[in-house]
Amino acid sequence: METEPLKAPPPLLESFIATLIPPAAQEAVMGDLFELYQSPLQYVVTAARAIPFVLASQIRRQANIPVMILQALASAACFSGIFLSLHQRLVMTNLLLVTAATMVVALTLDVYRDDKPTSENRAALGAIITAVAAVAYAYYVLVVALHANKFYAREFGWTFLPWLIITFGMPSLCALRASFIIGPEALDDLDINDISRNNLTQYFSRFEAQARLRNTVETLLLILGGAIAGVILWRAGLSLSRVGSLAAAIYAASILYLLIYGAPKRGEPSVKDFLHLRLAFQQEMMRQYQLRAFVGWLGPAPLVYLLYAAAFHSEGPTQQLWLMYATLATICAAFLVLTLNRDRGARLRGITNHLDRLREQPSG
Amino acid sequence: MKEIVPVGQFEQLVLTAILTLGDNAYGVTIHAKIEELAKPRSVALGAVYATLDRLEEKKLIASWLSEPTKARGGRSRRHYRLQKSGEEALSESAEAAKRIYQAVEQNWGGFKWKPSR
Repeated sequence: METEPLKAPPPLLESFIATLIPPAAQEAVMGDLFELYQSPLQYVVTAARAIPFVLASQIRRQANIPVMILQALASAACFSGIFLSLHQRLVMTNLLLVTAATMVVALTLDVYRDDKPTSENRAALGAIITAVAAVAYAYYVLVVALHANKFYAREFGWTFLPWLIITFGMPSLCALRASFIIGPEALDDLDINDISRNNLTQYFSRFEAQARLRNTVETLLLILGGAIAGVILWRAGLSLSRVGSLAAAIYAASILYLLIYGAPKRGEPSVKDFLHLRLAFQQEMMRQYQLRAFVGWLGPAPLVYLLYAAAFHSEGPTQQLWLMYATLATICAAFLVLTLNRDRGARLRGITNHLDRLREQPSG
Repeated sequence: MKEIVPVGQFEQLVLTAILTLGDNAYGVTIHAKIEELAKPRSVALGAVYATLDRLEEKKLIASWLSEPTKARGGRSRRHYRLQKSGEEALSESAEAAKRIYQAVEQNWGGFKWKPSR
């Protein structure tokens, strides 16, 4: 019969330590700390010595360099748009510092994210906050910065645009956000309670086939998006600047990366044991999740690129206006990609946790 | 020829601990076994977690969660087991250690180090 432990850490202290441990490792690490408990001081010291390693380990496991580079580029584009449209000058040191800080925060938040999908209320709140921030920024540029320069947006016939953002922007973001939460995802029908090795093999094969198809379709869409942006650029007579050429090269290289690494390798599940198969499945799910995140950041790139190209080919207040639209597009795209990736990540962590608890059942 | 994944000294210790502990290999016991193997060196529990994570990523070990127990405040243990590639890597390391031991023994006529000058 199982006995109650003689010593247990104070619940408050335990809850505090639990908040410092990334959710993916919480169950095992908190259990180990509980088992090793002798006194509150010993508990805190052991936890303090373990947490940095656990954190570093989780960051290493979740960090994907290509995705991080794209995320940093999107953040830098967003912040440079804000700086330029508000102050009409760009200090590179400030831009680098703000981008680096954003990346550190994003990475840490990602590690501390649990496997619970976002609730509708939280999703709506996130969308409202982002929409309000975007509208406030747009109003500041239009009313304060441009008006102070005696520039009136009516010259472009676009004065109604902020109103469109207010009227439709917020509900659209909320609707999109909600669709991501309730949208179907592969493996949602995974019955974890009654799974045998054969079932796992089937799930794995099905997952690989879906991933291959999705990667092919998404690669084609990226190529199409790049081609459309190229045609618009050419028709509008916008030439590629040095930075623009670099951005186009990054986009092309990213598609190449996706073509090379996108298709999952064909495994040989029949020769693997249950644990090996499960590990291979979990790792492939993680790889595909990272590829999805990568594609997510690449998706809106042509549109953002076109808007920035238009901004840098105009001058004065017109440039400020274009920069504002480019920045707004980047903010909205970054918000949608981040939320989509966050929910996908939660689903992935949920499935991985379930798989971790699976026992091999006799098949047939 | 099949490629064997190279492992560092601490990774060898972790693999050895998992091998000797068998079905009872999880965070606390692995840490205790490593402390025993690495004497007189002290080893941080966090370093063990990080290495286990790395070894799992290298596919040298596999892990699973046990049923929750009261002895752990209602939490599960993360158990570890050597994979075939892990056994091969450990075997290769042990062979290398054996060759080092033999070379040292041959030169010093025993494993007790004596200053040569």
